Amino acid sequence: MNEVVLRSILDGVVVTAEVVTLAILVAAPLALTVALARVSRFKLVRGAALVYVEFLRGTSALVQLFWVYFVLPELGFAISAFVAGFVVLGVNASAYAAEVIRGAILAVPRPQLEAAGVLGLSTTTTMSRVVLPQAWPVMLPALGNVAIDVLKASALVSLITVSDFTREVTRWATTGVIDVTLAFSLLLVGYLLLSVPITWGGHLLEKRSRRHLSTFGEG
Amino acid sequence: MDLDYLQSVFPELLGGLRVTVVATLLGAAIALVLGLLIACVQVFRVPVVHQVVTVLVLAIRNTPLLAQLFFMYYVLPRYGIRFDAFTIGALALGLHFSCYAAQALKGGFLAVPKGQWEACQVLGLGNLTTLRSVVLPQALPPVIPTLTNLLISMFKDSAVLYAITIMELLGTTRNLASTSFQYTTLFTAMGLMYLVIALPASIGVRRYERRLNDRTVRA
Amino acid sequence: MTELSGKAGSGIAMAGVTKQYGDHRVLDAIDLDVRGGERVALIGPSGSGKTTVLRCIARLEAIESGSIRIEGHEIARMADARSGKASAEVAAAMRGVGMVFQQYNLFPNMTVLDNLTIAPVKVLGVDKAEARERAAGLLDLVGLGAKADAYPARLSGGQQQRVAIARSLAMQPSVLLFDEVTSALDPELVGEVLEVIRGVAAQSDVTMLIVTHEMQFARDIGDRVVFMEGGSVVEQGPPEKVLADPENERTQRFLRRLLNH
Repeated sequence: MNEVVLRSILDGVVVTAEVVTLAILVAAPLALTVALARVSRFKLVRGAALVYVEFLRGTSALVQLFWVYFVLPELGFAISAFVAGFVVLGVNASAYAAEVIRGAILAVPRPQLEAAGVLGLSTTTTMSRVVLPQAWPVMLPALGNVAIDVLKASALVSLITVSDFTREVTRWATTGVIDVTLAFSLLLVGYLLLSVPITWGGHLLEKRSRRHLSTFGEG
Repeated sequence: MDLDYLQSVFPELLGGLRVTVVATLLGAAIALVLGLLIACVQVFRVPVVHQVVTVLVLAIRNTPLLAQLFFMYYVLPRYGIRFDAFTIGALALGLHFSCYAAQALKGGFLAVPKGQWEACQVLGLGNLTTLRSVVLPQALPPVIPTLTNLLISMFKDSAVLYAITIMELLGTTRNLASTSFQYTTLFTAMGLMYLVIALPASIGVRRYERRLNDRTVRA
Repeated sequence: MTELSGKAGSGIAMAGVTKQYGDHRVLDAIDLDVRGGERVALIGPSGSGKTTVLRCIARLEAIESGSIRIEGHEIARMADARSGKASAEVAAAMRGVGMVFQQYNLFPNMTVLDNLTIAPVKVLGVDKAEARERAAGLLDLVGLGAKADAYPARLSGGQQQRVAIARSLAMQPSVLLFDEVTSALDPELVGEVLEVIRGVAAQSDVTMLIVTHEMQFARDIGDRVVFMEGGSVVEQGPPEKVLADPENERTQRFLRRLLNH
């Protein structure tokens, strides 16, 4: 494997890492907002959030990528493949993450809400200081899975011409520059390695999030 | 949206949808059989095989379906394993989702009380009878919602098969667009076609699940 | 009477059986013989190893050392064996062993009748119609002839346990193991289950090993009462002797504590 090939593949890995990171950054605030909207007192807000979630989960990230990449320019919004890539992946993941967050919020025991109510805490304070901190460790494992799904879905951006890891490897393999067995084995192992820091980070956050919750003597 | 144009190509889009559905069902059959095998290996802790399968499942779940698809499409023929693209696509889809099906089935198996297995043993029922007549009938119903959700995911994610030249719904749409340039019409119609099938299906699953929960709560 | 062809064999012979969970020795080189046709009540404090004795005889547990014979066939599942799977000979011997569990363990996905016929049909190869006929007879015997088509969830605990007894009889066992079969029941349902066991005992000569906390029942049904503590047999003998006038100080303490409750 010569230096040019190796360099382009490494560049592809960097692009993949960028797409994943940016997609997660897009997804996080959206997911939290939509999750809160899903448990809102107002029916209209709840309904809008539900439509958002169902609509995004009703089609795959790939179909959404193609729609944004090919249709938006016709409607007058020029958008680069790279931006389309991480925005679509982020928005798509936000729907799944929102449902995870909502589930964790609903899993917080009712007496906690009643206690907050009795203390006269506002809805905002109850949510930010009582409910979300308790929901956080519950939602982390599933959010970790959503993050892994973002990494896996990121390979799809190669199909709208973003030069990510998959596209670079495929390009050299299908033109006969590198051996296909080597190339696609490398591709799979590469993604596996990229998933390690995500899994790791998830476990780390989970451990930290639980440090105050262990009962006395449990360590 | 150009409705006249849409009408003229609608039969072709439906043809693509049919390929999508067939690939999904074929993949689902593979995923179910393979998932059942994997779950059995893990539940019965078959020595060596159990460890190997666990590592493989982890690897498959942490790498993109697209990368697996390319691997099977480009690498397998090198070793004399020749299938047409459609078969490869269904196999890849089935293999990928078998890992998720296995996890759901394993959960179902483990939720069957130990006493049920012991009663079978004391009655002298063989492994096969135990599995078919006692364990599966109890393990399957609770995981049907999860398995159906996986089927819906397969249906949506089967769009990647277009990357290995299969003319399913996305491939057909792209093909039509490359000559007519009617991106907005074609891609919107395609998205709606996925949505029209996936959305009611997932709403149905949720209804069923709620009914199942109500019943167990009341029992 | 025709339903219960309980044939008396040579019973159960346990010799030097040791069973360990990690560092904890549950059975400590225990010897226990039950003659063919004999009814033995096994009593003792919780954690004494009574249930483990039954589970080892039923091959639900592997043992570290010792020997367990059913009708003369060695059947013990050894912890160091390469496979937990029974040989054809052992499987054949185990077909004569039935067990009734504390939690009934009926198959919830099958009707009462199917619970009774599945093993005779699948294991013994009995003709389906014949198995159903026999099952109906057994259900009459336990007083549940009308419940053949009901699902277990529709039955009370006492009824479920009676079905479980009928299910074990459907295999025409020569040895029946009862594992605290009334412990999970509401007090008012205990009587009907004990009555069924008494009936089975009266109408057949099947060998019975019964783990129970019901001392009156142990006295009524037992040809012999065995008191266990700490994984071995402390005292055994005729019920009136062991239960009314025990020799061992540990037996006395156990019975005193029961009376005070």
